[in-house]
Parts: sequence; C-alpha cells; structure tokens
Amino acid sequence: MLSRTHFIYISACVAAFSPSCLLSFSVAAMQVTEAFKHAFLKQMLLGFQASAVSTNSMGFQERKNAIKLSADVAMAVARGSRKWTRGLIAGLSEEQQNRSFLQLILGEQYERRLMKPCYSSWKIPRCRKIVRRSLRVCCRRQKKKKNQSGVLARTLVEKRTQQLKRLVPGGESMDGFSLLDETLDYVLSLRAQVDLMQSLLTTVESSKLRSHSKRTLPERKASYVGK
Amino acid sequence: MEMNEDRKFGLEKSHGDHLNNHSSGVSADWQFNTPAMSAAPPHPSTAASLVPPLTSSPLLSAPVPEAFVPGLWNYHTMSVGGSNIQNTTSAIGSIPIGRPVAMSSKGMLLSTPPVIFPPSLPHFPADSGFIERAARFSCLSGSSFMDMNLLRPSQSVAPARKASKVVMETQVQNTELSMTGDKAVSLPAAYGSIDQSRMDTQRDRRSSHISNSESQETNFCEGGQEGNVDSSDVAGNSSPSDLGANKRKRTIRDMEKDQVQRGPQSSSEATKDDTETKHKVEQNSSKHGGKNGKDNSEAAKEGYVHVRARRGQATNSHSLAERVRREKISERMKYLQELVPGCSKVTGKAVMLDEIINYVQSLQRQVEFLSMKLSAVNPQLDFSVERLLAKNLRHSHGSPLSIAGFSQEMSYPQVYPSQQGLGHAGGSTMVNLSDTYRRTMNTQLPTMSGYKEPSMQMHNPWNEEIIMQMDYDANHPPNAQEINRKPDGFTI
Repeated sequence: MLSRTHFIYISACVAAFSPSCLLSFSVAAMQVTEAFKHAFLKQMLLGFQASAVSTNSMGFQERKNAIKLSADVAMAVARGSRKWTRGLIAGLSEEQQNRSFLQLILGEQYERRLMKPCYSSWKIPRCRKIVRRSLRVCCRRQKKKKNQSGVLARTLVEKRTQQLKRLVPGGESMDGFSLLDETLDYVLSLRAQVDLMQSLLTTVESSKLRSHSKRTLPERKASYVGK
Repeated sequence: MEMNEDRKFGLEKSHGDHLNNHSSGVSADWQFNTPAMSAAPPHPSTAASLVPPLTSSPLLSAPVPEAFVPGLWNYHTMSVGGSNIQNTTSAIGSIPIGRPVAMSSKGMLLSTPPVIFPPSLPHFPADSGFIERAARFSCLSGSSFMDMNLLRPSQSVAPARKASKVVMETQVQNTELSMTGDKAVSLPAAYGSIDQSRMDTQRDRRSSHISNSESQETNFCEGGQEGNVDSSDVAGNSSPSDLGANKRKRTIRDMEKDQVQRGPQSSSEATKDDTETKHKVEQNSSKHGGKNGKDNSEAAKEGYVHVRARRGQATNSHSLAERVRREKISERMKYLQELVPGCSKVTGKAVMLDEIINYVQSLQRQVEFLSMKLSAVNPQLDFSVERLLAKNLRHSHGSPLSIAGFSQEMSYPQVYPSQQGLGHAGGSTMVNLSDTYRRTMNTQLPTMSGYKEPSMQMHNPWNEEIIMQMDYDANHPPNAQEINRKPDGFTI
C-alpha cells in the first residue's frame, strides 16, 4: 500500500515537474487523458500553496487572481509545449506581479520558455499582414467582377479569425490552419480546466460541510462524557 | 400467413427488377443519408393503400425501407394469383446462387430460400441501419456507378482509350471485390445486432440484389467513362488526410459536384495527357488496396503534385495550394465541429468560427467564475493536495484508496516539523516538495517583499497541519489540537 502511494505521488511529481513531457490528448477521441488531469490538478494545488491562497489576509480580488493564475499556469504546464501554452505563459509573464510566481513554479524552464516565442511573435504577423494586403490589392485589381457574396464571406471569416486569434493565447503569430489546430487543443484543455475546478469546488464544499458536522460531534461526545 | 409469404417474395423479385431503374436515386439517398428517401420511391400512390398494414408496426419510422416497400407492394398488386408466387420463388432461387462470393459466409441461410417464411413484418430500423452501413461500404463503387449513370447519356462522347481501359477495369474489379468483401464482413456484423434471423435472409437477398446490380453497372460502363470517373474520383479523393466514411462522403459529394459540372465537358477534359490519369489510377488502386493512413497520405502527397484543377478554377500553383490548404482547414473545422457542442448542423466557415469563438469565450468566463467561487469558499478551508489527489485517484482507479495507507502518509509530516531538517527518513514526496519550495523561495526570492516571506516560512508547518487536518477518519488527538491551533497561525 505504501509503495503504491509512493509510486503514484512520485510519478505525479515527475510528471508535473517535467514540462517537456507531452501529456497529450487523443484528438480523435476528443478527450483529455487521465494523466493530464492528474498533473493539472496537482500543479494547480501546488500553485495554490505557492501563492498562499489559503491565507486569510488576501483580498477577494487578489485571491481570485491568484487562483486563476495558478489554474492557467497549471494548464499550460500540464499540457507540455504547444504554441498556445507558450503564448499563455508569455502573456502572463508580461505582468510584473506574476513573474515571481511563474519563476517559482517553472524554475529554470521559465527563462527558456520566455525566449521561445519572443522573436517570432512580432515579426511574423507583420510580414503576413503586409503580404496579405498586397495580395488583396492584386486581387482587387485583377478581379473586380468577383461576386459580392464571396467577398463578404471572406471578410466575415477574416474578422472572425482575428477575433479568435485574440482569444486563443499566442494566437497572433499563427496562420489559419495552425490557429484551428491550437484552438482545438486549447478548447480541450479549457474544458478540462473547467471540469477540474468544478470538481475541486464541490469537494471543498462537501468537505466543508463534513468538517462542520464532524466538529460538532466531538463536542457532543465530550459533553456526554462530561455528564 | 400466405399473404405474408407472397409479400416477401414479391418484395425480393420486384426489388431486383426495380433496382436497376431507381438504384441511382436510391444510392444517392443512401450516400446523403437523408430522410428525403421517402420522396424517392417511384410508386407512392399505390403505396398508400398498402402501407397501412405495415405502418401498424412501430418500427416503420425509417424511410429507407419505405422506399423499398412501396415499390414492392406495387409489384405485388400487379401480380395476381398464386402462380406468380411460384415464379417469384424460382426467380429468387436463381439469383442468390449467382453470387457465391458475397454469400458464402451466409450459405446456410441462402441455400434454403423457399423454406424460410418470415411471418412477421420486417425489422425496419435495423434494416435501414444495415443498409446505411452497406451503403457506406459500397459507396465507393456506388459512387462510381452513380457517376456512370450520369454519364450514360453522354456515352457518345466516349473517347478511345484502350490502354487505360484495361487498367480501369482491373481497378474497378478490385474495388468491386473489396466492396463485396467489405460487405461480407459488414453483413455478419449487422447480423449480430438483429434479433430476427428471418430478416437476415431478406437482407441477404436484398444485398445480393444490390451487389449484383452494382457489378452489372460497373461492368456495363467501360473505358472512357471509367477513366473520367476515376480521374475525377482521384482528384476528389486525393484531398489529403481524410478519415473513413466522412472522407468518402465528402469526396463523393465533391465528385458529384464536379460530375454535374463536368458532364458536358468530359470530352475536353478527357483529352488531357494519359500519363496523369495513369498516375492517378495507380494512386487510386493503391488507395483502395492499402486503405492505410500512410498510403492515403502518400497518395495525397502525390496528389498535391497531380491535383487536377476543377472546372472554372485557375490552374495556378497558387490556387491549387490554396485549395489544398482549404481542405486541410475544413478537416480541422470538422474536428472542431465535433468538439463544440451544438455545431454539428452548422455549415460554413464563418458561422462555425462564430460558434467556436462563443464557446471559447464562455469557457474562459466559466474559469473566471469558478475561480471567484473558489476564492469565496476558500478562507475557511485549505487545500490539501494529498486529500484531493486521493479523491482523484479514487475516482480514476475506481477503488477507494485505503485511509490506513493514507494515514501512514500523513504520519510523515508529523515527524517533519519536529525535525525541521532536510534529512528526512522515508519522507513523503509531498514533504519533499514543500521542502524544495522553501529552498527555492529562500534562494530565489531574497528580495521579496516582507509580506510573502513570513507567509512562506509559516507555510510549511502550517501545511503539515492542513494535511493532518484532512484526515477525518483517522482519529488523531493531535489533529484536533492542530485544528485548534490553525486560526492562530494565520496572524502575520
């Protein structure tokens, strides 16, 4: 029994602390693996402890932000190395206050991760925008008789993709195809995050109720014994 | 009972006769899997009088069997008297024998066609399900013969292509055999799900009729049409990395669109180089034979080079690359469609993207909300990693992690605060973690604000209190003391 629990904890720790390990989903099945959920939860709870979320002295907003931060970082760490995870961590680390926490959680991986998307994130979209603009101009010059509905549809799609790029972390530097890929991944992990947090909430609440009832029991016993 | 027998045999015979005529419509409906099949049957008027007895059975919701049944009923009304029954029996007796390949697996049932008299009405939904499956398996060959049906009026345009003809025929036969093989495989699978064995025999006959007619169709059309069909087939099929039935349906839809567009233009396109078509034929045959993901991707990769421009599109390398890219995107969109709830009916990129955006936004909002709730719940209760992990493990492994084993884990932290050292005999990994936290915190964040540090230092012994506290079932007197001490620990 002991050895089993040991093994489980060790494996979970290893999994949690090696960010390069790919706890992948099975895209075909559209389901996240158990290992991913496990690592996610573990990371999140460690993150909660690291940011001292349970202390009374934090304000409500502070605590909420800390929890969210832990959750996001846990998600990114558990997922491994994907474009959106890198983008997410890069986005989070832009705020000064998060950096310490991130350094704590990620350790030496943090600097490496920061470096990766930086050089590509700015230049590529600019280049792409220029290219696209030029293409559009060329198209406009050549084919002015294009049916209006096609153009309208394309602009709609363009607008929507822009919006999606803003939503998905690190999405600015992706082209259409990889954007969809990353969105798929991101949606799966978001779903897992929501599920995990929900279950965490229910456990905490249920144990809270239990703790209340348990606390009353010994008192009753003591009072009875006293009599 | 006799009436029923008559109906059954009338069913089989007329099916064989009518199949050739309205098979194209039927197969088209199969491929599209729409309930519009009810519009397809060629004899709706006569069906009205005879359908009521069938509709008494609750299983008649499926439209596909209704399509068959009205036609068959119609035939039966036309045939009068018992003499016809004998004719039908003889006809039926002859037909299955002519198809030993497909029917070998079900020999026993077929060898006694006149014996089995299903007294009850057919099991329609099961039938329709089976027919759908058979249709899906046969849809490759079905598509080919459907296209042939379309091209038949333009048979006069058949160019002389003897060289490719032989290749085509062999390839078509390959597909045919593979189709029948698939069907033979699918039929027993379908059997397993059906209760009434009698229905199996009927299905056998029906499938035999179907495969029979299909083979006839494929054999009839020769040469140029097949060449055109296959080239278009490959052009449609060479879209990269498709998966299974979805792929076939989609490519067939594309193919049909192409066919409709290219029907009158087949001659002009047929005059393109032979080598290209030969390449495509090889790819096609390899695809049918291999049915491997790798084979498909290879064929698709080759298909990138040989992708044929559809009518009305520029043959630029740009536009071809665009098309390939668009197909990749559509495949991803399909995945996303399955993922995002309520998106299966939506078509079109813009709307799908809209749905995806809404879904992502809602998920993010949910995360915010849940984190808010957690922060509201939090101050009274602390997060015990071990407890929650145990809960998770319980859920995932399905077996309750024994509290006894757990309490042994708990006992370690009890040792820890007393030692206050790193050398920890048999320390739990949790304790090691908190240890590393403290170390990293002390080394990496020496310049942290005073607010954090005391909380961190206080954190660890207090952490152990948390862990111990959560062990409700084990009655540790020290735990109670820890609980009482806890509120004091909060003061900074």
